[in-house]
Amino acid sequence: MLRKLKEKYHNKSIQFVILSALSGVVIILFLILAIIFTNYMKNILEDFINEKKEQQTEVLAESMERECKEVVDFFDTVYYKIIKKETLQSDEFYKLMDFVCDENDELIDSLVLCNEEGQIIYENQGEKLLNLTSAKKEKLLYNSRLDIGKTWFEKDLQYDDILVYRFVEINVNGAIKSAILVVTLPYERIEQVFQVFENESYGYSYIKTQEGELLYHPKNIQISHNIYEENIGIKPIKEDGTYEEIFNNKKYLVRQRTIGYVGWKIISVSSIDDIMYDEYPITLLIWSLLTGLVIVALLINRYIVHKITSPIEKLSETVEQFDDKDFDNEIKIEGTYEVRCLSESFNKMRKRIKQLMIKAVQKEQEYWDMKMKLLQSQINPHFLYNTLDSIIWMIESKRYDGASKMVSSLALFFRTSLNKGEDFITIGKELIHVESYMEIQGIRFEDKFSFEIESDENIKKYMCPKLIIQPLAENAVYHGMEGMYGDGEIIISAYEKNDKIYIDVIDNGEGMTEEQIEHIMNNKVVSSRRGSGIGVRNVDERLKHCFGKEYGITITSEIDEGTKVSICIPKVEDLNEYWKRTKNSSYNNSDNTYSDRGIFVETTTKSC
Amino acid sequence: MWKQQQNLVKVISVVLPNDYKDTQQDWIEGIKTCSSDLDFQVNFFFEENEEELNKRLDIENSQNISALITSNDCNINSKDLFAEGYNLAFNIAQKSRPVKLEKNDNEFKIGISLYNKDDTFINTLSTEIENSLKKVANDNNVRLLLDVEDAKGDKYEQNRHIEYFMEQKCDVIAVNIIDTWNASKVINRGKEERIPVIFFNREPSDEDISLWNDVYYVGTDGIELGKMQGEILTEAFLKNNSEIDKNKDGILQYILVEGEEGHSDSVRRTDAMLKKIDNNFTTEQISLVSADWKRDVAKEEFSKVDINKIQNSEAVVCNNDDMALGVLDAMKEMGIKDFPAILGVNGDNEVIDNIEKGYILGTISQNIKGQADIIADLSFKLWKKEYINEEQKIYISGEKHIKLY
Repeated sequence: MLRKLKEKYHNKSIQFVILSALSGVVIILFLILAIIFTNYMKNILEDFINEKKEQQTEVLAESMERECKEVVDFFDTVYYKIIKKETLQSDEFYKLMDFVCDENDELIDSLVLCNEEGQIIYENQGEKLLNLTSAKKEKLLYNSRLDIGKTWFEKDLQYDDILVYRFVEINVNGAIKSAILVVTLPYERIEQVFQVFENESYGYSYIKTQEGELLYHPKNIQISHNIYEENIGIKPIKEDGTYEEIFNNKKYLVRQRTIGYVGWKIISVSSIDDIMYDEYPITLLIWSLLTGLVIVALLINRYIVHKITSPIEKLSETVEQFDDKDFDNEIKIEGTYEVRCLSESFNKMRKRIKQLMIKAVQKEQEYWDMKMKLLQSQINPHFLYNTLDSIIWMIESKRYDGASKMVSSLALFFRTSLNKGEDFITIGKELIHVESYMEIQGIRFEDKFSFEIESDENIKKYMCPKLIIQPLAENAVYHGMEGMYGDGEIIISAYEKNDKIYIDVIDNGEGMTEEQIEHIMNNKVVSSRRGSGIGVRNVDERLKHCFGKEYGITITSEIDEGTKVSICIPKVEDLNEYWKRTKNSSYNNSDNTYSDRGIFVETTTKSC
Repeated sequence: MWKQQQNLVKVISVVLPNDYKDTQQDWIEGIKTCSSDLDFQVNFFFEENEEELNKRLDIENSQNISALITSNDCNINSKDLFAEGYNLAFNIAQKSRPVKLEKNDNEFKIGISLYNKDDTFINTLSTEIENSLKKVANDNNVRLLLDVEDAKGDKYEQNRHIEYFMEQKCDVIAVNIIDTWNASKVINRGKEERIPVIFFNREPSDEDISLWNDVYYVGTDGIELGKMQGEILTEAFLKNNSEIDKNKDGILQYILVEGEEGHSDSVRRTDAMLKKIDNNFTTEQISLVSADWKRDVAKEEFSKVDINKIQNSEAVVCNNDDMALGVLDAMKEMGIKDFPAILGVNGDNEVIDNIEKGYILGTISQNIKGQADIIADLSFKLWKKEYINEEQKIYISGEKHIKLY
């Protein structure tokens, strides 16, 4: 799987590889950054809220402490300045008590002073009546005796009030008696303290007593009607501090701060999740900002990668074209230093290869030229001698007609052979050439055989390499007519078929076996010494060289029946035009060697 | 890295004769203020005599400290001694190198904050605590860094002192708190800095003490003292009725002189005393005086009481010895020859003298030496982390001193 991916990766373009790698790195980096950042944000937020909560609870606690101290101070005033100083139930006592209560009506709601037996010595009732049952009085008295110097704060479950009371001593006619001073605190006082932070969006705060009863809660009314229930921070925690609490899968930060002296606990509750939700737009902003940055980074990436790789890609394209024989496309030298170097080197190489190529083509051409010249000079001297001998013999036997015909045929034979030094000749002329040859041979062999040359008039204008029919005719004369006595027949016919030109040389000689045909076509069999010296194979090679592999010679033969050697060439009127036309298509057929004709066209006229 | 830097602190030792504590207060205050501003540590050593001073100088010179300040550095004639001290400390601190402060096992730093040194009892107690600490440190071969601050009854001043102790990274802080309402704040600060706090003489509320484990109270139980006072009076009234019950009505007419209003000790002592005597015979409180623990206030307030009431009184029960002495002063001034039975609490030497003279009936010694020893021992153990919260409140029993008939 991995290897597959690797392979796949290997096959991708350089731009893709670099771009994907860089982009991957960028995306991963940004992702890590984003995660770290959000975490960091969360931590900062948590710290911030923690600090805020800490300050808030601190302020609340101090305010509450002040409130309580005020009450205690009030108690001290009442106790030391009035109860202890004045004679109980005197006019002065009542006057002072009333005065103090009125002065502090914001601080206290109701005030009751009662003695050990529960008799009320003084009372000043506020909005909410403070009606103490005797049991309650007893309980308060008992409690207050536990620490007589202390002012006690207690939540009155019955009235839902805060009771404050302390043990006092009263002087009843010189005798010191125990008594209890009780006040109720107006709830609004605490409410006011807490209202400062009511509108805070970071949670809420409440007070519970040491026993865990709720003393103040922003949702006091809801709680008293059992609509709302407080679950967070209710469990007693010994030491003050910040704690995490999970309730209903929600994480809460709970901060506890004990109010000095009274021991009440301020519980401040905030939910990190809620705050994070509130801060959601910020998180969204951060993420979108980061995403935007990633996109910008990717675009820059793309631009840089493009800048680097496009010259390489252009280079690679040009190299591919170079493969397509286009040697002239110079690579533009641009891009980074390395790419420029590469392009320059490539251009140099391209020039060099082109030079080499031209040289190679020239060599090839020279080779073929030499070969042709050799062929032409190969016209067997023996044939000339024989012919001349025959002419002499004819003149001696006074057959002047025959001799003159032979001489003129010979002349014609040589003239067409030379063909003004051109390598290509019209089919018509080639046929004239072979006719003259056949005539000479016919005279020489004293009509051992008859020959016939037939041709469509309209194909005579087409071009073909010279000396292609004569070698075949020669073979037919020397090999096909061996042992024939007067009944030998050679037919040379040129015709058009399937848009190609066929020239058949047919004899009715002894024929050949398949092996013999094979031998002739694949080995360099030089024609008999008496002939022109140009073999069948040579003709075939030349045809293929000139026109392509689909052209050439096919031999069909049957023992004792005869042999048919067929030349197949294209219909060519203008050679240059033909080669231009066949330049591309012939590519597929060529051997991919220097013998590529496309180059020949450009360099030199072809000779076959 | 950060922690190491944290440990690099400038530490300056100041070695002075003992009387500088009182005479060059401003100068010392200047050094202390500077130490807070520049965040260096300063250790004061007050020695009684030349010999001790030289010994201390030798010790300090061998210590790993940044600089040393001696009495020679103090220009007594300067107009502004505070600025003098501040500038001196500033210059020395600027020039000196910080030292690596390792929490070494051989350095015991304690800060003591007093409510008011004018209070004879507190003064004695503080001296005793100092002596006890020195003894404990000597016995254990530990370098004691002691700082005693007097708040002079100002609770804000006391807060400043406590904050200063926190800055100076004291190992233990002992507080004679002025305002018990302040206790929770001190405890919370101690908790933050992880410095154990020992309260003495003035007891914070139970709620406050339960705020943290490393908070302690060392002192006497007001109820016990009051009860003992009551016992003395009862015994005297029953055994020597003829002596006490001047008008022979079988009822004890008494004047009560209370300490600070609302102070738990004064309430407790009074209540316990009253309960004790009320159980045994009939009493009549003919007057009540509130004198804020102080001798001069007691004298002044007592003088305001109706002379007839004073003459009729068979006993004057005071919440402490200072006030008892004040009452005695007032009566002497009034020319009263036949003193009623005067009772005090503390075991003050002057009161004991007066008991022997027969002017005062009795007092309850608060066992100052015992308290001091316990405070010293407790703080030493806390520093060594050997005291593991056995008891947060330690009460010391009082001891009766009675006039012999």
